[in-house]
Amino acid sequence: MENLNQVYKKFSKEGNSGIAPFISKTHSTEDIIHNLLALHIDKIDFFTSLIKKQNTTYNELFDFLAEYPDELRFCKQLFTHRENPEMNLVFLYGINAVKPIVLSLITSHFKISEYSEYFDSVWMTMVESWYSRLDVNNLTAKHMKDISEETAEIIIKLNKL
Amino acid sequence: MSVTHGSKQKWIEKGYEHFAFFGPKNLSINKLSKEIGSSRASFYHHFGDIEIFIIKLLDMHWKVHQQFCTRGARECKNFFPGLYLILEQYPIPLKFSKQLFINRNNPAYNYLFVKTYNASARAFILKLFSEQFGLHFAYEDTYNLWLTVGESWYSRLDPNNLSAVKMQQLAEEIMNSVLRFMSSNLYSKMQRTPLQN
Repeated sequence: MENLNQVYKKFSKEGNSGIAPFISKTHSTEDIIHNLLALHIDKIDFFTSLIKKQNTTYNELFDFLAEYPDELRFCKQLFTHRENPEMNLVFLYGINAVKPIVLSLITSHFKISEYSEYFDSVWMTMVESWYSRLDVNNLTAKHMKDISEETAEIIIKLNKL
Repeated sequence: MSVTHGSKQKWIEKGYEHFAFFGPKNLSINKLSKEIGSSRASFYHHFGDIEIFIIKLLDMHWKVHQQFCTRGARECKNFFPGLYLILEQYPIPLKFSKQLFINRNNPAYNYLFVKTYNASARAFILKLFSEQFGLHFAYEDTYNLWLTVGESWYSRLDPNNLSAVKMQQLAEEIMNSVLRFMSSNLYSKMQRTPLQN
């Protein structure tokens, strides 16, 4: 499909209504979404390998994220449409891909050393809290760092439960 | 009026029911007080404020859920219809879970929702789920599929119709679309990548 990056950008900002102009006899909504999800998976793989290679620190992580506003908006669209199994699975794919890197940065930065039996649930809650607070109209490093601090406070409390 | 342990338990039980039926935002001490026939003073004596009361309700849900897990592990022999026949016998806890799901912008509710979902998956559901659909993936991948079913299932679950038949039907519909997705090249792409785990 031509201009897939352009469609990706439109979907990131407007969701399903953003892709309406691209629906045609040859490209159904389902096909377009499918192609967008495939492109997003490629982007996640690229993104993950980059932060691994660069040995990103906790503070650098947010500057890095701020360079990818479309990808972040796309993730937020997936998060908002989690009731759709395809979107949810791709959302979880992204979370799992960055989990080893991000979790280690967060636990060392906030000195969260003791993993409880349900630490996976804590991690999931942190991700969901972060995305629910993420303002797609303010994707600055500062905003993203601020909401991380808020969610980390929650984590620290929940991890003790 | 004497303030007894029994009256504390009455508040919690009725509060649990109200949370399940009306949601956390509609919990009313006045309404609870009328229904259980205890004074507001009794509420404040036992709990101090509504936030502590809600923590007690969340604790109760966790205990009920642990009982559900134990029973499920012991009695539930198959995913269809076994799981849904057992779930049908827990209408109030199911409504409570649905409220946690609806109100999961509150991290404490979200955490309890995810934690209970995770606990029952570990206790018995994931095994039955894998058997039912012939899944032979790593634990995390199977859990992600189950979590995906849950996202969709809870968002569409009608708390006014918690019959086993209806709940199973909903799971089947969702599973059909998950299975369709699993046979797509997109899912294979997700499985192939070495970065996932």
